[in-house]
Amino acid sequence: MRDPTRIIDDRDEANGLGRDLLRAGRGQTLSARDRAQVWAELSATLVAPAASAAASAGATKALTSASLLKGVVVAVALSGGALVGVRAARRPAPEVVPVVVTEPSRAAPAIEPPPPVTSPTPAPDRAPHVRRAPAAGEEAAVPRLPASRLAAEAQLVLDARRDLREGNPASALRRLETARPELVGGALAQEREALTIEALDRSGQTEAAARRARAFLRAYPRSPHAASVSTFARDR
Amino acid sequence: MTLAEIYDQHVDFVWRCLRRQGVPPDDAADAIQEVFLAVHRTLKTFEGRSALPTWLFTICRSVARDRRERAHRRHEVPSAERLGDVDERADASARLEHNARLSLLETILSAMEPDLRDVFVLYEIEDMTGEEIGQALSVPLGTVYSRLQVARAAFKREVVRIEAAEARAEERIEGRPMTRAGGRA
Repeated sequence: MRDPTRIIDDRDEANGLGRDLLRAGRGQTLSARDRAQVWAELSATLVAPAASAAASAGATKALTSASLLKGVVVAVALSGGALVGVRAARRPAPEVVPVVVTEPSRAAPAIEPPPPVTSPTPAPDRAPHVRRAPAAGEEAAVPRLPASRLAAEAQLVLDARRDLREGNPASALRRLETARPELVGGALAQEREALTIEALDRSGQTEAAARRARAFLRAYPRSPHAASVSTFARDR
Repeated sequence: MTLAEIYDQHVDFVWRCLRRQGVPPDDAADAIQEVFLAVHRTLKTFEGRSALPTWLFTICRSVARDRRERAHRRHEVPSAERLGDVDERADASARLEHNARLSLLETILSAMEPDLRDVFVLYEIEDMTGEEIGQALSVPLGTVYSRLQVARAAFKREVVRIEAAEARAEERIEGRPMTRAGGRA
């Protein structure tokens, strides 16, 4: 059996939007800063127990290699970042295995600015399949989406989610309701309504949230958001 | 291969896998570390019988499942956030377009059954072969293909629906009278 042609390789015009979306999914990468910060915390977590074990065994010589020190220095240098710090202390210590931690080439922006982040490359020991190179002209393809309205709608959804995550349902509600008249029938209508319901509930308007949740479930019973919306639909 | 090399080459893949297995963005950093700690612990026993991404995917799935169970035991409400990650492109318009596409993609993927979504994502986005996916999910190749076929049909249906909704909305906007200030009423 042969693998079928991937949608992204299918030149059928009808798949244009699908190709654009999948290309965006492939281009989704961690920011260079987060990449470096996560590595710094990981290094610190790995180095601490290893160093401790070595000290107690009187075997410090083996662990004071340049590589290990480099890992510690990088971890300390980067430990002021948002993702680094207290979480490492909460986590149970991993099994102690002597380890030499060297920094990945893109993990230390303070030392060397990282190159633009690209899709991950295959491991050298990876089996025969090799990730495809972009087809000729693929990068230059004229974007089909989004229209500016759709971009605005997607940005609204992202902003409202951020408001909710930051504990500011009133701001989310204000954004969503203000934009509603301009976005009637938009492609992300279900997502906007689900966020509105959550914002209503979290801002104390539980009856309104329940009413709209029930209306949502009647209108979109098979929505991917139905499960989460149903938690707001009950009478409380 | 060292842990640093694996991290360097595969951390983006690990992050995407975790996110699509339902790990909220706020927990992603911790989850990535859990994955690489597991890699560190078991790297010596990894015999290369499967491709490295296949192995990493199985670890991601296990870490994501454990985190879900722990959150459930703590009665945490799952985050409504999915793909809220901000793209770092310098061009604001390119960033908006990229984020809009990611948001649409995630909307479509979230409507798929998890078994179908795993196959679809690994094949269409992560570019793994059918055989690799079969190994990662412990299912026969025929099952991979049949799930892929169903998932692709669902994906294409949603794309058509979104395009149609957009076209209708654009028509409505174009048919709306202009205000004196020049904007739409």
